[in-house]
Amino acid sequence: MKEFSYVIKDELGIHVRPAGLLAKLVKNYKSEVIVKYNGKLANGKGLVALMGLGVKVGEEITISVEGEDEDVCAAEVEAFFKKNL
Amino acid sequence: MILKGQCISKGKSLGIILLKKEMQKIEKEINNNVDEELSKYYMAKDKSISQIQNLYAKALENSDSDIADIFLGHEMLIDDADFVELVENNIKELNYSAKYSIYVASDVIRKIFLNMESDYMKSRAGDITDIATRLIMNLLDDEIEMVIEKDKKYIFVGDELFASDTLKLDKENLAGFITRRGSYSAHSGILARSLNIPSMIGVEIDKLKNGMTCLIDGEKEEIIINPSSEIIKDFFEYQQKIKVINESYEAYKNIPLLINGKHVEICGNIGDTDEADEVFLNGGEGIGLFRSEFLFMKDDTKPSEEKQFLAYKSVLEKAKGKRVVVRTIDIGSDKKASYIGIPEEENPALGLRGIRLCFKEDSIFQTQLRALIRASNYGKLAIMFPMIISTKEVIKIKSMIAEIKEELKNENIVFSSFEIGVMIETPASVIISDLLAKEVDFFSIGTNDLTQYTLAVDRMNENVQDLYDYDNIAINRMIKNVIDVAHENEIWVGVCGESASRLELAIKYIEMGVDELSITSNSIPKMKSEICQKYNIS
Repeated sequence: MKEFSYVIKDELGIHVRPAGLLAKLVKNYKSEVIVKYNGKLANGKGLVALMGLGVKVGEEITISVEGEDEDVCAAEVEAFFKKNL
Repeated sequence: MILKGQCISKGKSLGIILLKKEMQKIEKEINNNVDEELSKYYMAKDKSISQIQNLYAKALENSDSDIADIFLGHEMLIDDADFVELVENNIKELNYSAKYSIYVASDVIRKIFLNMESDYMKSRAGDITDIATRLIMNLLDDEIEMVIEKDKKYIFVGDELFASDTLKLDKENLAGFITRRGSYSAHSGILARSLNIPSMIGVEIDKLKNGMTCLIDGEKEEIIINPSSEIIKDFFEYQQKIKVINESYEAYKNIPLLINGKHVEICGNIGDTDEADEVFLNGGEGIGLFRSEFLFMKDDTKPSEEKQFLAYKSVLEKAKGKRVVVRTIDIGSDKKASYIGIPEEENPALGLRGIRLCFKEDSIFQTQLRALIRASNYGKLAIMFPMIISTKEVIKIKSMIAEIKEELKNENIVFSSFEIGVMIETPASVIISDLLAKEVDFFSIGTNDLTQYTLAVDRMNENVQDLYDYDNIAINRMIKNVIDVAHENEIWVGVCGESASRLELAIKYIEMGVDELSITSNSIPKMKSEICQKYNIS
């Protein structure tokens, strides 16, 4: 399993557009992507779940990626966060 | 009949009421054939997605990037794994009909958003309603469209209005929006402000029926239902006059006012970052009053330093070197923020407000000062403090500023020089203006409160409205006194209250020697042209 943390820089938190793009991205991989925040978990495939975490700007989330393609998937997801959120 | 509400986009307009077709409450329905209901749902979903894609393309064509973004969001939400799964489960496990399954699933998702803290997330509940309505309409093959006559103006009315509703009308047909719910950041508000048409929220809309004629008066925050022919005539005259006059003002708006050997600046008052553009388009020579409260009142949480910094920076950049006077948070009295607890006060105008609240909530104040000082690097910043009654307060603020500067230096964060000033709005500040002038770089006279406090007349009390007079000699003497004291101490002085928008008073202030007047941005061209004519400037 791969795990990394990320601090949200977008003023709106995880809003519709990046959440939707992330969900789309995650669906391309076999690995399961879980976003953890404040004791809550969200599947990376669900944009409502991601938005529903209620992460605000400046707050830290932990992302875990598990599955046969976890190396590539984790790298892609991390790059996505850095670029979009 | 007159309805009251809150205006989130200014202006005055006349139009025909057009009610939005709302999603009906759907009764529980059990299906007999799971596969059939599932396929109905998938068909409705595909049809909805292709409609949304068309709306997205149409928005892009009209270069409405905000609206296009909304449809991009809809396309994503309608296909959300959880939403789809909820609907499928309702059909498969609970044997609900497709229609009822969508209704129930959308309600679950809507509640998730409604229970979230931020205004942005709460507003997404509206997107879910919008999507669910679309899905259900497509399921029933029901037409969502309405009949619109080409050359008529419509006021769109609904509990809430969404981008997909408003896009059905051509911009030329839109005269305004009225909704029961909503907030400043609701779609109807964003769209209305971009189209420059009025929009009201918090309106009891039950009395509004299709086809009624209504007049929205954004200034008075009123909706007049079936206005009399006299009111309509007045409105058309007003509209015509505005058009002709606006054209005649154009010629003057960029002329500097050189009067009695000095340059009097005409600046604009703003309440939000977006309004800055309007000031400069109208020939404003700076921002004379940036009411920073809006940043604090539009969300349910206090704005972060970063968010504030970006807001101040954006206005300073738009000003391109012209001065921007930011008034620090002036909450209290009639302006409230949910996260700042102000106890019920017998007399809030004399209570915990302005700088008093800032000292009490000093972490909020420090954050604001830090954001402002950081922004000083991007333009000509002036920071102004409201409700000052003693030099002690100014000295305390200055020491807070000195500490923050020290902090920023230690953190290697750059900042630039900026002015600090006092809003002269209490009689005390007028009387000690000679002492205050030694501590600050400028004064800005806030005539609204100065009038209320000097004349002991409550601005909100109808019974004494006739006594609330900016032109009272007591007020004029105070203003003259402050201008003289400022100049003796070699600092500049402006007037940023409502009264500066009145030509006869503006001229009085100019004659008294004022350096700057700051007024609502759309009155700048008019003010400049009238002053030019008065002083034969061309």
